[in-house]
Amino acid sequence: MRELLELIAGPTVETLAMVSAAALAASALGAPVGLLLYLIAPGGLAERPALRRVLDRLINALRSFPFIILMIMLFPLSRLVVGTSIGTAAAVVPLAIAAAPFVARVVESSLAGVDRGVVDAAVAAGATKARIAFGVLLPEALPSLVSGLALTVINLIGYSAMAGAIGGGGLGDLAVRYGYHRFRLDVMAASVVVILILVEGVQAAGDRISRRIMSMR
Amino acid sequence: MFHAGRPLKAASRDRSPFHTESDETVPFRSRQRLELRSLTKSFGGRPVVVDASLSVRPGSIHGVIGRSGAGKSTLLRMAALLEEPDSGVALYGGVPVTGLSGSALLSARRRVGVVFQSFNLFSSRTAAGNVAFPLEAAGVRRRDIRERVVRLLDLVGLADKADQPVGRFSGGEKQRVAIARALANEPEILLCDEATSALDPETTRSVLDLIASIRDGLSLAVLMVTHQMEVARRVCDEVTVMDAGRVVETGPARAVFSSPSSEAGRRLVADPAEAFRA
Repeated sequence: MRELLELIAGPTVETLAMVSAAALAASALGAPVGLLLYLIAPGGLAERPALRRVLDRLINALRSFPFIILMIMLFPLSRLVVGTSIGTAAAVVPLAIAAAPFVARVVESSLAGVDRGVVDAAVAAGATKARIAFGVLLPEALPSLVSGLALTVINLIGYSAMAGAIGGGGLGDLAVRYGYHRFRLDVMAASVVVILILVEGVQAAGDRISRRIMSMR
Repeated sequence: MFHAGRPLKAASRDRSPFHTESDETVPFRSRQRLELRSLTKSFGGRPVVVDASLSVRPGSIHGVIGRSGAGKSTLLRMAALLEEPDSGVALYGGVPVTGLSGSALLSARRRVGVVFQSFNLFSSRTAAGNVAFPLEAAGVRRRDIRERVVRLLDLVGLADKADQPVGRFSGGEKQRVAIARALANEPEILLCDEATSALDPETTRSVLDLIASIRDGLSLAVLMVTHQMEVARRVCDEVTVMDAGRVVETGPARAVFSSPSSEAGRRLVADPAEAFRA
């Protein structure tokens, strides 16, 4: 049992580090795109049908790309950004790129959930688009954005297990090396349990924060 | 209702609604605060508003009545610069405001307040935060904002609830916040789109009395779209009847209600439920 705990502690920290770094990077990349998608949508505050179609295609293409292949294809980019294509830090790059389009969609749909009439009220007040975006849309969509972020992190935990398989470290790596190659079922099971706990924890925290924001309104 | 040939000097206008109007003594000034001239709008090839004109004097409430789908709300949205007309012009204080863009459009929008049927408050903000928004948008200094917000919430009788989130307010309270928000930038024109349709009769009366007292106190030009005949009867000074996107009748409220000249007007006056039919 002690050995098991020692085995699992390091990879758990790795997974947490990988996932948080990737979630931050994916949000930084994806959230502005999501806002843009909302603004340029048909009937939006700054309609740009052509640009919107291009972005739609690009995002759908990225999202339908199998992650394991995306990871391999992004080796050169990882090398460029973090100096290496293997290891936990290197895995953050493909994770962030894979999650960014997801974040963009999450942000877009959260913003689309804001009552159109509320946006009208802001427009009628003579507010600039930037003020409407940051002063009305994002605050109004906050509970839904928090839920979306939790969902992103949960997806990233799943992806990070795959990243582990190609040298990214973390719980996925542990499960494969010990559970699969050395028939250590206990290690495999322990990895899965920790992943489950992480997912449950993130979901619960997301729900809680989201509800908390709602209850203050 | 087509006031052609008005000299453009009418552009000189008074930004403060707290100022006494003296239109009669200024010969070149438009007597109309809000004019809609031949506004036309189609959605997807379907005409919604056709060649609609009306004008609203300062210190008066002008009702627009008609069945649902008659084009009333679209007309109001064009007046609020939320919707661009296909043709026709909207004028504030005699100055055309249609076809503007950029900062000119933003500052034109700040000259009108809009009150919506479903309140459309910002749920992420307190009552004070809602009223402050148009002031923030207009670049009013922070310390001036607080003072004006308090005054506006006091005007609508909600000073004691300034710092509460609006989510748990009653319908009447929400609409009062919305009215305070609409008045924040001291507009010359107030546009009410079915402002009382979501309220119970008693709350409706109190909100209408509030709007009527604002009309008198601030000498606002109020355009009030409604399908509730009793609302139009209670507060409107003038009434326009719309039917199938067209203005079919305009006149003093008393005249329209006692002897409507249009077929649509007669139907509405005879049977107020008519307004609910599409």
